[in-house]
Amino acid sequence: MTFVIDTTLADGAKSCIMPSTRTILWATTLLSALVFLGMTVDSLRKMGARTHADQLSAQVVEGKWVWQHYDCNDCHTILGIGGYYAPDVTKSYAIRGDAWLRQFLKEPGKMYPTGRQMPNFHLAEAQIDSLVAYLKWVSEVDTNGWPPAPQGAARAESPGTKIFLAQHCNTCHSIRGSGGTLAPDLSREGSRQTKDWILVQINDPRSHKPDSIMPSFKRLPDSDKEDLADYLASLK
Amino acid sequence: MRYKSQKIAREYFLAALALFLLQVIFGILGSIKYVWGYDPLLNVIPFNVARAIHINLLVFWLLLALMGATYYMVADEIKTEIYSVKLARLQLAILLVSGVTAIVGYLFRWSFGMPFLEQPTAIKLAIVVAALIFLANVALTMFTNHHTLTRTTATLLGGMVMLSVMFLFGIPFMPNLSTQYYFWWWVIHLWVEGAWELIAASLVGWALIKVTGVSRQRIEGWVFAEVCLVLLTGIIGTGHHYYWIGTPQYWLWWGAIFSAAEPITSRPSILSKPSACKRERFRETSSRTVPIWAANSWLVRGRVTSTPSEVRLPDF
Repeated sequence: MTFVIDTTLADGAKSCIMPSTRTILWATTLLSALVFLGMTVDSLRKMGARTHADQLSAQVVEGKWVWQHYDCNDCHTILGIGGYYAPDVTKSYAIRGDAWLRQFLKEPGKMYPTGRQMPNFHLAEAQIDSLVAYLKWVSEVDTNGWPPAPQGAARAESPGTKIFLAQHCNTCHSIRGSGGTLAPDLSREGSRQTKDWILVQINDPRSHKPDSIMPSFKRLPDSDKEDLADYLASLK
Repeated sequence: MRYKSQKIAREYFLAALALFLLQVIFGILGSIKYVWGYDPLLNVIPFNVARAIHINLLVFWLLLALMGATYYMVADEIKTEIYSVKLARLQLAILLVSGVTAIVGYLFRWSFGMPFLEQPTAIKLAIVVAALIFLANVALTMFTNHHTLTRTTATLLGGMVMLSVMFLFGIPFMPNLSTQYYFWWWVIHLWVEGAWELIAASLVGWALIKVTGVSRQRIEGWVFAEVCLVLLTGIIGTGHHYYWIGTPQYWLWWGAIFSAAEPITSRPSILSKPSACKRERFRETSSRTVPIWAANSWLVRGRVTSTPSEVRLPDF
């Protein structure tokens, strides 16, 4: 690329940049805008499949509006964008599942009794349904692998560990030094309690301790509860 | 101040200052929430509301300041009074009322829910009306005396038009979040790394013409080079927001390369350093150099000079 440079500039009457340079700058800038528009057309065409746009049911769209109406995005992050105050929910549905999300949305304070709190918006059942449907749709968007594998997946060895992490039991309980301190340490739970006792605790924490703040995980599938109890009973 | 109507800038400045102070207050509130686990205001002003108010105030005061500065500068450049001071005041009033309404609305959960663009649609439309009044007022001021229309003012108008057009992409509700975010960035990114750069370049260029003694031709050449490089890198540079939002994978390359080139565009503004101006004045009178080193360092030498001391204007 050559530049035609005006060396007779001393009189100051002419512009610093000769038309040829000027034209090159104009042309490349315009070209970049056109390339961008072309890529936009191409992207929008491909995004239909990448986002499963055919699954944008009325309920999912309603859920998006619930998400926007309560301004969730100014605390939570989604697709990498947001308030960075509360967890990224892009893959929440994949990590936590339906039951957890419903339970959380009904009484956010119960799930995380200490630390940062999410206000209880007293969502109607239908709003929760559509919000969960929306989060399910979001979790299926092809995001080029972002965010990386669900938290804790690498550490999940048995089905029970996976459930322990997916249900975020470690928010309150800790095992071998990792986890919260609000609830008892479970590192040696198997030597203190039987599997049956643990199952009762999972289903109805208050049967053992009437003022327990642990939420009930009754709604988990029975097989999950079995796996979780097996895992905890194995900790000796 | 040569023209009476330039005084309108003062009203814009005071309004911007008030909003800035409010922004700081809500920023402090948000940061306390951030650091302090316990939040007594959880059900009154939760973090999302504090943040929405904080960032909206930022955008509002910046826009008011840019608009006020535009009125001040355009009158000076075109050498005429502003077309209508009444319209300028009306526009300021619309912006202030809609801004305050939006902020109070957030406290009552009246929100569109996209970060920075939380303003409900009715308020966004009011902002569009104010922007149209502004553009008309500035354009009418410019074209009443078009013989004195300078490249600096044309750049400013271009930046303001771009600003207004881009805002439109933030208004509709799109069912697909990925698409919504695709166009959300047309407002957020193309404002910050597009329109605002144009506006800032022309305002800084004008100030430099006024205070440094470097000739208009030279500074306008720099402004032109800067604006082109900003757009050349910044438009496709939007791609650095398209890595993981459901967009095709090629954006990882395009976004990375073009946004890596974006900082180059800030090089011409090195002229705002007093030492650089001194050198420029010296060169202007003593040699036949061409100060397009910004373009030069990038296109010819293929690298960016890393420190101001390294900046050397090429001799041709």
